[in-house]
Amino acid sequence: MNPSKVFRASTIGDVLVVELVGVVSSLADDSINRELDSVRTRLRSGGQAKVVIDLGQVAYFGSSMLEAIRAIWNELTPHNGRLVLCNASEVGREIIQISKFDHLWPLVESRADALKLMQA
Amino acid sequence: MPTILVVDDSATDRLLAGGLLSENGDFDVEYAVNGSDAIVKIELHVPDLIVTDMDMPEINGLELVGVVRKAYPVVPVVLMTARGSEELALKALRAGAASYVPKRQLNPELLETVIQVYSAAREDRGRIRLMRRMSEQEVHFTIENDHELIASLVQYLKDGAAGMGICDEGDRVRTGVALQEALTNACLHGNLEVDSALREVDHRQYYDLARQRMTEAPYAQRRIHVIARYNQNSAEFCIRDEGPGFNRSSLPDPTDPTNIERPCGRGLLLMQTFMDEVKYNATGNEVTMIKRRRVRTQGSER
Repeated sequence: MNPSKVFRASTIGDVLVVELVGVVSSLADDSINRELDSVRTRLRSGGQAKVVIDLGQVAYFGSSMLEAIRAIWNELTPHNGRLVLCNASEVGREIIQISKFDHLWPLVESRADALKLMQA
Repeated sequence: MPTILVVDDSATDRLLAGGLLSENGDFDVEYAVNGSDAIVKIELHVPDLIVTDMDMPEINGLELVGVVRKAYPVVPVVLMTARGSEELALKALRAGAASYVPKRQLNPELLETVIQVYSAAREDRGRIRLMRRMSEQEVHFTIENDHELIASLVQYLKDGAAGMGICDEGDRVRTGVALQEALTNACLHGNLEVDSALREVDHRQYYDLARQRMTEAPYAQRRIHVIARYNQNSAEFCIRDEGPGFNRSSLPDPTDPTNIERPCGRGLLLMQTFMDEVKYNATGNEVTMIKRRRVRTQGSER
């Protein structure tokens, strides 16, 4: 199995935690697209409707990563799913706020905060 | 002899760390009892390297890293982490700390780590001092529609801006984001002419078409031309593609609440927000972005 370049997914209870571990330079990179598809497939097959996106491992990201998050969100909306962002760096937080994505999904400090919010 | 400042609110841990560092005889060690005390001590005498605990009252290790990176960017910070503070340590590394050593492994790891970090910092410091004395430079690149080349070019260009002291670490990152967006746009929308509308249908179709056109005429033959001009006050990046150009006003406003979930125009928004000036030629196949120097930080040169 190839190690993940960009997305690392794990399950905590009924929440799928997707950790961003590399920079999404472009979704035209097929290997990155395959990893994203793998996350989406896991969501569909696992029937999970709660996702935490942990941005703690990267100092920044661009519109390609925002698009990847949107693609994950598109898997959740038919099931009234929930998505929470956490652990963003200072610049990461700015990017989310500039893009107004914090109007769509909560952005919290830590993974623990995100998981707590999911149980609320 | 290089000076290391050891910062810890525990006297025992402070003396243990200081003792391990001064034993080899190559470092002078000074001490601070917490983050606030460290800042006062640094203002009086800037050390060559800082070793700090993470969990301290008033100003913790993470906050101290932030202060040092802004005010004394050439001084590396090494963290000492207790069990349970790994998440905070990762945040501090992302905020610019040079390395970390778990407290349970101070002997022998602390001295080895400090020696490595100090050696690397000394080389960096020499290079930084030299680059700050460069008055201007201009570089030209012509690249294919290759995302790996684009990523490498982004790294090169943003390092050039930081190297000349035009931007600090935070702005270096922001400049990199803007450059990535501009170059990706030049590639996908410019040279490969892939329409964003396709992304609304299925992002897979959009990127499959992009990959297909990377090997198809006439798209594959098109190139991205980049000119970067640096001087003491600004970095200017001119990026031109060989596509037909586009009309920016045709893009929906990504900040309009009705468009937030649509894949539209976010890249341009990031470019406009993170650069001081962004302008396009009439055709829409060339963008010029300018990043201007902010006020110099104290202690940025030694």
